[in-house]
Amino acid sequence: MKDIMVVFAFTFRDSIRKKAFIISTVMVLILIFAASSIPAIMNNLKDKTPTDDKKSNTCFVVDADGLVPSALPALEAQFPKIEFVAGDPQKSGDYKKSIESDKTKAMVEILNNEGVPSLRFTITDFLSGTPTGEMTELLNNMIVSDILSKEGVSEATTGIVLSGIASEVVPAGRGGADGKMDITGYALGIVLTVVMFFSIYFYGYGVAMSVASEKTSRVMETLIVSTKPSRILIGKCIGMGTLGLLQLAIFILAAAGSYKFIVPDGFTIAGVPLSLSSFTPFSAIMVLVYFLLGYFLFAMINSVCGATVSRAEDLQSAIMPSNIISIISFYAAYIVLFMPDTEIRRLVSFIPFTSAFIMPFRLLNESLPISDIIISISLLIVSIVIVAALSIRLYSASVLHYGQRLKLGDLFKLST
Amino acid sequence: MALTVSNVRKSFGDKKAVDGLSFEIGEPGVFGLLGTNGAGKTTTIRMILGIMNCDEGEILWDGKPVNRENVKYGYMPEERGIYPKVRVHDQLIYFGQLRGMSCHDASKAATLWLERLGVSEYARMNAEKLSKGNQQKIQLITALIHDPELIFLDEPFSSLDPINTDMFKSIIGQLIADKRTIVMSSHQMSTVEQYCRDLVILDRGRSVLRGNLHSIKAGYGHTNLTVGCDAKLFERVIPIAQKHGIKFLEQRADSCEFKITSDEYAHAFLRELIDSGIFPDRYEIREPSLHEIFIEKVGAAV
Repeated sequence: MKDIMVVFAFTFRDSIRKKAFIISTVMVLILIFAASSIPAIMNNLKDKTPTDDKKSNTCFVVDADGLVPSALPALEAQFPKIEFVAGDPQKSGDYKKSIESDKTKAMVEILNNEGVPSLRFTITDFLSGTPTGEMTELLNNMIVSDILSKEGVSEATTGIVLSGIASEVVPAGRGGADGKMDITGYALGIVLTVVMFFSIYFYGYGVAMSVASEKTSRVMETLIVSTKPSRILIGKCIGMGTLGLLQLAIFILAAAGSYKFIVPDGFTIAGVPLSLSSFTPFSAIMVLVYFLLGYFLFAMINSVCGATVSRAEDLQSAIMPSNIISIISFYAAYIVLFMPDTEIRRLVSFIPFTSAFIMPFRLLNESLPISDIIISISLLIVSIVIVAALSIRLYSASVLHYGQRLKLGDLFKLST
Repeated sequence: MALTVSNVRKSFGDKKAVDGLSFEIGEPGVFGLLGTNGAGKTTTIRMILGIMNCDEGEILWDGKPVNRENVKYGYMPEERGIYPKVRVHDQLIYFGQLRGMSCHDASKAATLWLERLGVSEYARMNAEKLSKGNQQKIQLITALIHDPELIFLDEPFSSLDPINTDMFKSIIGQLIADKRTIVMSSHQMSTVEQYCRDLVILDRGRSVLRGNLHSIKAGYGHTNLTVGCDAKLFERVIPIAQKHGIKFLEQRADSCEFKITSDEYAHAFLRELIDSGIFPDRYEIREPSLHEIFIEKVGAAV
């Protein structure tokens, strides 16, 4: 145990000083702060003159037949930044000419086409700052309200007609039954699946790289006479895993800090507010457990890949089998994300190579039976023990091999 | 404390790397493990260290199998290996800790060794910035930092300049004085000859000669004669030697080398040289050198 801790501490200290770690951490932190700043910048641009009473645009309101007598005050109340001017129908041509030369000007004409009211906007372009959609909605509501009132419809009924009918979509099944599934949880789950894949891949690659560089620098021979290969391997995997956790923790803290201090309150993406309500303490712990177990499984395989090469440049091809397994596992998990309440989704949740990718999503979006979680984690742990035992054997056999890269057959032959 | 290697065999596929090797190191001192490239020296060391399993045979230290738990050993491999991008002092502490030392003791020992080998100024430097010779010193410290009782030195003097070679020799001398058991593999026969009490010569995995070096050389008897004189006299000296049944071997800058079958022939040869008015600067009857024995044994096997 002492040797494992020594290898762990050395691996951790050595890796944390490496340029790759420092640069990747700084770059991701910059990305997090930059991404968090976008909503604030957008808001800032939108409210360039938030406290300024000066009108930014002018809009001529031409209502020749007086269809909406109270249009002007209603528009002024709704759009305080725009100066609304009651226009003379005879001067429509002049207004058009002035709009052509000044993009802050616009004109809305309320027309009467044989008893059917309509609106016509004259603007320079869509970026002129005249909210034609909202103005149409407001004027439409006023015209409809006026018509219904004249027909003797009560104010309450008019209100119902104008407010439209509320609707909601409730997903069926376990997730929907207790109302846990929501769009932010869904999006967060997908993001988490992708993050899990990249983290497990990236830090697992770090283990392979570390083993390969020990072989390249020929330090391996000195190392394995100092302690057992199993202790080197386990210590190294724990070291890289801890480094991965530390880096993820830095990113999460930076993201949380940015969310709290940089992202404006009430910010939404496509109308959906950002929310971490899907995370419970239990699901957060389980996500951490799946990250660690998934990482260990792939790190053990990667360590053997690293031990088969004599030169660091051969690592990419040596690690290909592990990459293929992880990519297939990720896509299998990703595909079943969109297959709710199927047996295949459950099966993928139990398969050790895929469970680390699918389970975090399911934990965030479903009320999983505890038995499913226990089975999934147990199978993952059993697999890690089997893969670790095999990896240690293959690693021990291959670390002293130099020359041509070892193929799987040679590796098994060497280990017997 | 004795190291016993009994009938050890190891094959890689069809190739026999070590074939029925046996020897024993009964007392502290330097034991020479000699052989040509690919003779099986490194494989033998790896099997003794327990980092490679032997197909057959037994290796025991003081009656117990050799492993990290039973024996405190140090190993300086032929292929030098240190972490290039890790500071020298840090990696020495790391290896010390892996060999059972506390961080404090490892740090103290590392500092002492760095001072002793004259490389303390590089303690905070990444190892890749050190010269090859200095890297070799760091490698030696990794083998000795934990004060091992059994030490394996595989080509310890390669790539060292004469000053550092002497420094390494003095450390080996100190280890001998401290009653350590050292297994040394080297191609530098003069150095092996200087330190080794016992040796084994390997050729293609088999032992072609083993035993006490002094006894081996004594067993050969006086076989070589060196006559040093002015080079202009060589054309007179060589025919006189041949007249006395002495075989001419080679001519050097200031001497001639001969093979003799008995001391009497050599004495008769010297007498005639003097009678002929040739007074040699040097006249030496000696046993064959280890280099010559090695060439004879391995060359004969080839």
